[in-house]
Amino acid sequence: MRRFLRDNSLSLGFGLIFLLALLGQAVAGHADYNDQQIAHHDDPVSLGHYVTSSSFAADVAENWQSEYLQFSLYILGTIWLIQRGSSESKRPGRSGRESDEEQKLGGHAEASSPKWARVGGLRTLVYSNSLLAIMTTIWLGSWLAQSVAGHISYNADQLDHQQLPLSFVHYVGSADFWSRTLQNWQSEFLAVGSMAILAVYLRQRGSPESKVVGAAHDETGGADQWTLRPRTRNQTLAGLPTLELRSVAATVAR
Amino acid sequence: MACAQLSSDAAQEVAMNAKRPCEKAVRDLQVKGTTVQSVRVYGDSATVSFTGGDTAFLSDTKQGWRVDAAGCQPQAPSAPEDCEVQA
Repeated sequence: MRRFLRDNSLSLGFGLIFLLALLGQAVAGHADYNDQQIAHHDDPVSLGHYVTSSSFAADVAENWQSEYLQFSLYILGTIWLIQRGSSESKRPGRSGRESDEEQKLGGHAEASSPKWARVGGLRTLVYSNSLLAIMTTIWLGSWLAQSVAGHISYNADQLDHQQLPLSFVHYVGSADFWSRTLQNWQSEFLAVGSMAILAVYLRQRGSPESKVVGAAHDETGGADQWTLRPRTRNQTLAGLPTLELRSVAATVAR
Repeated sequence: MACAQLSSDAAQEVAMNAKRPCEKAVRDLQVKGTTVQSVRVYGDSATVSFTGGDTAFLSDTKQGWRVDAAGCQPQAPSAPEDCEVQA
């Protein structure tokens, strides 16, 4: 059990703070919602009523969709786009989908490779794009949820002010929908772009999101890529574990 | 009876405008249409359109659905409707 917790502490830790933050959002959002209800001479609602309301659903979904869009675009963009010197980027020259050998596909797969990486055909094609496919599906699903919940929430507000409701099609073209959407997108794009460039010059010791502290500013790629880029063969091979030696040797041979 | 279907704010507004109790004042209101044409519900709010063009706006309260505004007619596009009864 302790080993399981240690081996999965990153996922479990973020899962836990996600639930705590969602609970905090529900409690704070409920208080804010009821303040507005009272200001409009409407009845306060229970926490259960609030967390099943379109207002809460729209607030949650609009943040989810932008986060999944951010990661989907990053996964897609970093296939081809490069930031020289960034730990978030592939090295210049490795742009693109890479060869089957580099990706350990089909005959180049290792004994420990997933079955769908070895078998070839449609299954390997699907598995080769599964991360982007699932992240994009979650993005589109949460964006759809935002549009449906936002439509209901917007129209409830319209009716409170004796204004006629909008159809769903009109709502997804409305200023409210795009304001909610773009205010989230811009912050995600800023965070990703700034991370890519700041990682060129700044370091965080011990984090795989950073180059090692002593890496040169023009060294591109994370810790694993860094070791695969020898200045001289002897320098790089010295002191590396056996498994890494194999991949370094393969790289040098190429 | 009709006043019981109004929200408390709307009932107060009817009585205050007419300077009479709501039960008497409500009989003089010019609300057209008796047949429901369409009902649309969004969250805790709803609108009911009647044949003849009038619209009512309702909200879901602890006492059930109550009328916030009735006898409403559209004004400029996107503007609030002009209502005979309004909270």
